[in-house]
Amino acid sequence: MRQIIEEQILPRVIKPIRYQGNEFNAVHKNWEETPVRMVFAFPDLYEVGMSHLGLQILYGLVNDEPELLMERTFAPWTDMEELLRKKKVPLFSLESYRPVKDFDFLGFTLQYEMSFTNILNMLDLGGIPLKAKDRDDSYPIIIGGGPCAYNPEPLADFFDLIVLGDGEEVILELLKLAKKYKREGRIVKKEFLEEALKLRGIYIPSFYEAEYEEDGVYKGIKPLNSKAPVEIIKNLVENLDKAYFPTKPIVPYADTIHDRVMLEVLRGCTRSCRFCQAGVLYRPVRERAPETLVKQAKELVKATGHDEISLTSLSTADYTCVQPLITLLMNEFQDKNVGVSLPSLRVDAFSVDLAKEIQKVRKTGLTFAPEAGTQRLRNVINKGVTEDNLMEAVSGAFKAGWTTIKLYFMIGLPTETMEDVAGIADLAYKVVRTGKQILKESMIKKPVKVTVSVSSFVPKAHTAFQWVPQDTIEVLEEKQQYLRSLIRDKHITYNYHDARLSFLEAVFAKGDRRLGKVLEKAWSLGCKFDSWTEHFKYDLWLDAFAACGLDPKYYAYRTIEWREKLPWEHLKTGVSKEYLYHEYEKALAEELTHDCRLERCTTCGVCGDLKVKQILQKRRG
Amino acid sequence: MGIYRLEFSKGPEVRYLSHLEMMRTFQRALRRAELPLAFSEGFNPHPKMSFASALAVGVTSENEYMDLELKENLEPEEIMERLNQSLPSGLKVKRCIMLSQKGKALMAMVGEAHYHIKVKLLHALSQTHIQEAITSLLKKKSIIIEKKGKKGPEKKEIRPGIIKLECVGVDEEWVKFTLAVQAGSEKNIRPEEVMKALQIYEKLPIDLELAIIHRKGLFKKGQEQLMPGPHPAFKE
Ligand code: SF4
Repeated sequence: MRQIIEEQILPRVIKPIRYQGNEFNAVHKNWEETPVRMVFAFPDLYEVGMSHLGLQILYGLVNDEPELLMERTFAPWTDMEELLRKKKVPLFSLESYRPVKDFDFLGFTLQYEMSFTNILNMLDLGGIPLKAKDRDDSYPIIIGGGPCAYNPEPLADFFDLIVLGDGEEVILELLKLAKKYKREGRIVKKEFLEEALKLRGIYIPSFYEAEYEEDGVYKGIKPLNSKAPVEIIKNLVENLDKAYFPTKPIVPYADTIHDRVMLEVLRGCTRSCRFCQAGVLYRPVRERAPETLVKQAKELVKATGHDEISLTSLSTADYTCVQPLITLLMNEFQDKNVGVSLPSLRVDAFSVDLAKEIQKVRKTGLTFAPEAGTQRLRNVINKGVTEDNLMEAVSGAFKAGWTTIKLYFMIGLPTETMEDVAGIADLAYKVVRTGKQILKESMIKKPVKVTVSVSSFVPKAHTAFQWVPQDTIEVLEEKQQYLRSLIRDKHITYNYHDARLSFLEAVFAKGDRRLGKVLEKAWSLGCKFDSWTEHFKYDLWLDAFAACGLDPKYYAYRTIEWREKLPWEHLKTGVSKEYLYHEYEKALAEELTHDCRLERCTTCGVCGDLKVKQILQKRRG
Repeated sequence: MGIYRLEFSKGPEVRYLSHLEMMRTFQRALRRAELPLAFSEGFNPHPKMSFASALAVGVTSENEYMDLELKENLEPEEIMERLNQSLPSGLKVKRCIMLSQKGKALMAMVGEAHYHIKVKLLHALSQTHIQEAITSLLKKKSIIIEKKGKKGPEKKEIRPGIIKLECVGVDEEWVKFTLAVQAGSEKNIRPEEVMKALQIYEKLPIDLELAIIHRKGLFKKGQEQLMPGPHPAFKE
């Protein structure tokens, strides 16, 4: 198979480097001598998947164990797919060029809903029946994890097992357990799955049946297996300082999205933006000690040769020791020309000061995310920034010599009016005016450039807005056009997302098991790489819904009542439904909720129910 | 401060690296090797290194050259050893010497390149047949091929740049050539262009998509060595 791939397929595709898989630090283990084998599958292109920190963590973790091995596979681009099908070569792993079907586990990371069709396509390319019930013990066990695992119901038909929460600990337990259930080279699936239930955060969709009212409203889920728990609680690494971290990440040859060292400074965010799913899924906040991080950074730079360290997390500027950490890193790396970067910035003057310091080494763009155009709406979503905050930060940036500023907004947020939409344009103009003024005063000749990126709000499961209907495509498009008409300035670039894609995202984000057949239909009609504009085929999606007799509007446009059961309710993030609903009510009342890391606990439920604690570092320096 | 010239090979494991990816791979390996790199000035400092020639995606090579500047003087053997430990499999430094001073840019010195080429035949042919096609092609005063330019297709004269072309073997599926062409900034002939000429002018039934191209050597004009000194293989 290797020969066919190397001689007849790779020379004919665009960017064959995507499929070569012998990057620096890639691990090639002895197949025969390793009893349990897993292939990690990222349902998107190599360049996207290789930028994912979770992959690097699990890859290092599993391959450090003598009894286990992990290889990788990605969604082949369409030219590659065509050749694979033509030459009858199944989807293979990059390390050993083996069919993914030969592995014991095929593990997909579920990062975004619009990658679901790629999962089906990859199973099909691997010669693996799509539905769990059609797979006997000769096929790998298909597992999934990641943020979309918190509502995997649309995928319930296809997956054997879903892992909730931080994967670092449970993945090893799971793979080691599998060794005991391996007979004659294959895992005895049924026995293994039942035993796996004893581990934390394991959800076996086939052990449950979803029930619906006569009118189609979801009624709840019923365990079919006496061992299946009614609730599944997420996994959580209690102390990030002690958690595994990969010291030898793979260094891709190709230009990936994040071509740098990813230093995870903390996990979790408790700013409580009401639209944000990650903020709920990754609670509570757990910070790493700066000493640990500096040590890790040194090891990572040495092992990879990268010239940039990105301090990653949901909200790096919130890290208690961010200032001392940056100073430590700069001192360590400045004369080696290794830069430090912050992935995205929260709006305040403090973060501009940080950025200023970082820019001593390298100049990158500055991004702010006010999310909404008026104070009223920012209160609704609990984005605790004021216009003064923004203007102060932006002024700081212009004074420090930046001329390009990016602003992120959302339209379609609950309670939004056209006045709020117009607020986005007002804010953008204000930033431009401030910029012009400051640049003029400091005699800088370069023009001010402001990019306004506007996405459409997608209500997500497990958030305060999970009960809220999404704006219709028509309304979203009207708002997009209205904004377009307001933003007419050569200093401002305005871009927005396809509202139809956001609509489908909402459908699947809050979907139930019935959507499995729509997914299969859409895939069979040719949908894949849906999040890639050139491949998104909205009409085919509508055809798929029609063929299955389901209305996508039902999922995206309906107000869900408090008394209704939610299709993802049995999957526990630790944050209580009551807390979320209370947050929803506060949103409508335009009331703010403070950050529990700064003031008292707001009783979201995580710490008590999961018996964990926030871990914050002591302020120093 | 020390300036060094390195000779390295690019194997099949890294065949599909573009020139840019190759540069980045070296930059990272240099950092991993913790060599005292000299950096360029400016907003985006990068290690001072320069390659003799850009190798196309898909092409392997026996002898490529690179100049490297370090902040300190190190033994060439040490540089070679440390770098080889940090390079991915497929890239290997074979020789390293210290240059007495910064001379002419390496890129500007390149004049000639030699290749081994293996191309898939669409149907079986005899070696004589292929040899005849070569002779006929080389008799031509002018060979114009079309290549992709910045503004659409461009015409390119390649005949004067072909120094030598021979068929060195053929079996049912594959035919093997050796080729010497002019290379470098003055005029650069790519092996695919010569193969294309055989296909167009002599109607040779070959599948260009499945060509395996290996650069055997890179020289100054008149086959003069780019790297002074004896090859280690001839040391004893
Ligand atoms: S339980 Fe309290 S302290 Fe813990 S994350 Fe929730 S609000 Fe914060």
